[in-house]
Amino acid sequence: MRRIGILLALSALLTLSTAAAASLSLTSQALTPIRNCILSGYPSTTTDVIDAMVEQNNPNTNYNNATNSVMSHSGNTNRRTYVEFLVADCVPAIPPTATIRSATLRLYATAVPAGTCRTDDVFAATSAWTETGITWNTQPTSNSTRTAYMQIGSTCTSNNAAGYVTGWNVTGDVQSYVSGSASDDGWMIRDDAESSATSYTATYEAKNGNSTTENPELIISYVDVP
Amino acid sequence: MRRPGTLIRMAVTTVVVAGAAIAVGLAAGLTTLSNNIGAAQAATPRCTGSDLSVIEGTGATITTVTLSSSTNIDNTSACHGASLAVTVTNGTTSGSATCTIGTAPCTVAGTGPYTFGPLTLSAGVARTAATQADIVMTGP
Repeated sequence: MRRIGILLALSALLTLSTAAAASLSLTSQALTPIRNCILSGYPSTTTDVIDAMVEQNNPNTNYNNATNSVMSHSGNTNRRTYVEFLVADCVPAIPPTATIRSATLRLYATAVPAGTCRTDDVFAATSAWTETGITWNTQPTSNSTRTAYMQIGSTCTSNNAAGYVTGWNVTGDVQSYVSGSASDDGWMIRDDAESSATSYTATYEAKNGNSTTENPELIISYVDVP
Repeated sequence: MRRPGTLIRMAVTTVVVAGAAIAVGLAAGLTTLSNNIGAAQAATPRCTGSDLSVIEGTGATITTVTLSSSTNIDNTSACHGASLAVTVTNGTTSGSATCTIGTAPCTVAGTGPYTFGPLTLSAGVARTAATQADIVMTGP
């Protein structure tokens, strides 16, 4: 009889631990929280976003006040756009341990290259720069390998007319900014084949356009737990 | 030879122990369904493998949002049928919306990136330089 009692107590204990495990797994499976931080170039007075264009033909001119960032490429008249979103300014702050599911850089194209389909590349800048100081001759250093590319032009299957472009996937760069393995110095955007014989131009709305419908954006989607 | 009473007690004991073992087996099955249950670990939610980005509607006040994903989560069994609750806030005001993946307006459009919506927020949110959008997916 005593052995039976011991065995009954043992089985009751096992049953109790079973109930605890079951409730834990059911609760944790049901919810999936995903957070988004959207950094925007509106209003233009924000310091969360900085952007500027640089021009090879006027290498010492600062174009901080331009309302459009023109990207063209022909001979020695290449133009590039720099844009930086201060990821640290997300509210609430993205934890360094967060996993970035996606980060998309979106610009509004006010004009696309006509009669062609060009490739616009994004490179991560690797040194600090300022809106009021940057010129062609003082461009920051940047990665030699592009982070992402996107096709744009009137003959492309997408990004072939004015409007928000599909955007550049900068997930890896933003993950590095958040985790602290790289400094957040933004990106340089340029044509994939600069100095071409024929000039093509893409024009993007800049922060100074102060537009609520065409402002530059960085959309970051992340989860707090891996 | 054991007495019949002893044999009955042994049989009852065996049944009780077997019952407990079955209960333990069921628990193990439940644990296996969640990805990471164990000492000092939390289970991984089912649909976190997907990314969901919130694209805010244009204008000085955000009244709608569109969701975007690089994968077609409507075709993903771990996500299809899940309820989505989206809340957008600028730190002062907030607006929210809900939908079910696979049911309008949360039906897939495009061939990638896949978009859902637009969803109309319960209240307009003034556009600021930094906004937060939380998505909570429940189920399926």
